[in-house]
Amino acid sequence: MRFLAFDPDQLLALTVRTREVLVALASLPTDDPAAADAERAVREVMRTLQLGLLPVVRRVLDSPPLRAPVDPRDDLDALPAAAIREMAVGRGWAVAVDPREDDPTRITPGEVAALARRLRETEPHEVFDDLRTAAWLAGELRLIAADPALCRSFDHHFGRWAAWADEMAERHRLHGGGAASPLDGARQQLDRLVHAFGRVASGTVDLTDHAADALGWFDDVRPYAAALLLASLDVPLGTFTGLALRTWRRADSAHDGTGPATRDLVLRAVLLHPAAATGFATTAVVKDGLAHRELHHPDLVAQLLVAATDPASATPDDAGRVLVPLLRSLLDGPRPHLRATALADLVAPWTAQFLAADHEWGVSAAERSRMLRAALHDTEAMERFVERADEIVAGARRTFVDGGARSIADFNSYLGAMGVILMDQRVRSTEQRRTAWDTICNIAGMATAFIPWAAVGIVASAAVVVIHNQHTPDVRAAQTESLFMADAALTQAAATVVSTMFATYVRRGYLPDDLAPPPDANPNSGDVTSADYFWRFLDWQDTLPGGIDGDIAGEIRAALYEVISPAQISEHVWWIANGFPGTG
Amino acid sequence: MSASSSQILRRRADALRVLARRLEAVPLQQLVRRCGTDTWVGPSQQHWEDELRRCATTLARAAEDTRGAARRLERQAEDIDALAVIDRGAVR
Repeated sequence: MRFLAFDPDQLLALTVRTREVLVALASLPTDDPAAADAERAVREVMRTLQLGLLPVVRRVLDSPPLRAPVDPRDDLDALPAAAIREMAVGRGWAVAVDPREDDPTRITPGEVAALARRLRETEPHEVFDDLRTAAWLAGELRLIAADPALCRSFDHHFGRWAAWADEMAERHRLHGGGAASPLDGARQQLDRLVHAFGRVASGTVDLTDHAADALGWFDDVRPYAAALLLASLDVPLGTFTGLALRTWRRADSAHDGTGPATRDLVLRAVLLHPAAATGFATTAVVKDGLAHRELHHPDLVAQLLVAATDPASATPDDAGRVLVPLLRSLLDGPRPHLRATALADLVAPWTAQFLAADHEWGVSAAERSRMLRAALHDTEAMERFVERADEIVAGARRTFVDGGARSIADFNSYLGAMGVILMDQRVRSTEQRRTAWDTICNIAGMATAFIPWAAVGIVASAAVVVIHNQHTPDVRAAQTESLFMADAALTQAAATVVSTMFATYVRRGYLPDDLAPPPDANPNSGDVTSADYFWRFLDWQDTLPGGIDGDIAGEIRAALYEVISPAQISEHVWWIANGFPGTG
Repeated sequence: MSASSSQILRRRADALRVLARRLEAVPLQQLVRRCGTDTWVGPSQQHWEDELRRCATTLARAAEDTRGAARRLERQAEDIDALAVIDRGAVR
């Protein structure tokens, strides 16, 4: 029930003034046709006053007053009547049931101020112990949260955020933290109150505030309480990230054993604000041991890191700022609290950056390569890595096809390295080996992007179909096979380029369409794939118009050598026969 | 059209300006103040204060529109007078 406090004399005067206005309106000469709009406006205002305001005022004046003055011990002393009580007790006004008591969408500035003052004087447990009052309060706070001016007014008159936040946190903790059970009404009610308080607090943040100045009381509440409120905040990104970092750090100083639970809450809150994930992780990984602190649910760290380095929102530089310090700790210790599979999830979209020959992330190519190998050190990490084939291929496409600034030499280096990694001997199941091989083929198909005049999109997809007709190679000895696969991958790329050029020449009429197509790369030939391909390519180019010395053969050969040259083929043959230099 | 037509239009324009002034003189703003929290407090107070502000805006806009209508009538009267001068010239 909502109440209305009023001064009977003033309300009567309002009636008199309203009638005077009606007389003034009725006497207006609005008979000119050019005044038709004015006449309509006057009629509308008169209708509002005659049929709206006056009956309401009359009804209020005629209604029996509930108390005048009000007895502080009656119902009006309850929290929902805080504003009316202030008027009734403070000014000696009459009180009636408000004719608009059923309007759930309104809360007046006076009610907000009175409610805030009343809450300031109320012990939080009195509200939390009374589910009905708590439900009512959550509803009022939601109304306040919708209007920043009301939020600031509430903040001005309230001033006890810390006490209320701590009480909410304590009860949340006693309810077991985590997610609310649908059967736990009290806990659900508490969650609604926490959310509503968080939204009102958000409304007090001036968008021009410096992030560090916003919600100063956040540092006065217990870390668990701050973490609990974080999830409900709707504040600018910088402010949110700053508060999340401060709360994460304060969890270290929680002497009541709530540190791990507090960190859980912080990470859950950041995951609810994905735009903040990268900024939070960038700082927290380097300065605050994001992956080295104790949590009740350690998988939250992995979820956060994946969100922070998600290519959908993070740039390669963003990802580097998170991944480099994280993986350095894999090499130099202490080892982060992350599952091996999580490490695979993190590196899969960024293999091009780890394996690029160019300077990347401010780290040498050798160290980046070591980081990637360290991330994939465990067998289950390697298996997970292969499962993430789609992300691997998408990452390579972003870098080498969409990025546009890479050289074919960089691509070849990457492709060879991926061949070595993906055909690792730890990838044992037939299905996974096929996935790994498909991944290499898909990446190899991107080689067409480096032919300047090719319609890359169409040709590349056609090329991938060609490549997929190959069979997964037989299992060989581990190291030899890795070298073999790097060579095979490069050869696939080269064969794709040659096939694409050939198809384009035929389509344009430079070559007859009954000419034999160029050879496919065949990893099952029993020979080193590139060598086998090269000899068959030499035979095939003799069939072109003008033979091996013709212009077209020259152009195709030049493109082929961009991907894999005779000198590289010789090296590969030697390595596969004798082992990679320096590996013993 | 004659000179008397333009005089009628000017009289109507004058009357419309008077109406505009009287619309502005309706003491609706005083009513808004009387409807404030010095008189009553509660959801109805907020609602009716908002409603009265809306009414005041409606009347202010009506006054402005009425002045615009007066200006248009005035221009028509000027056009009629100008046409009359041209017609007389043609007769001569």
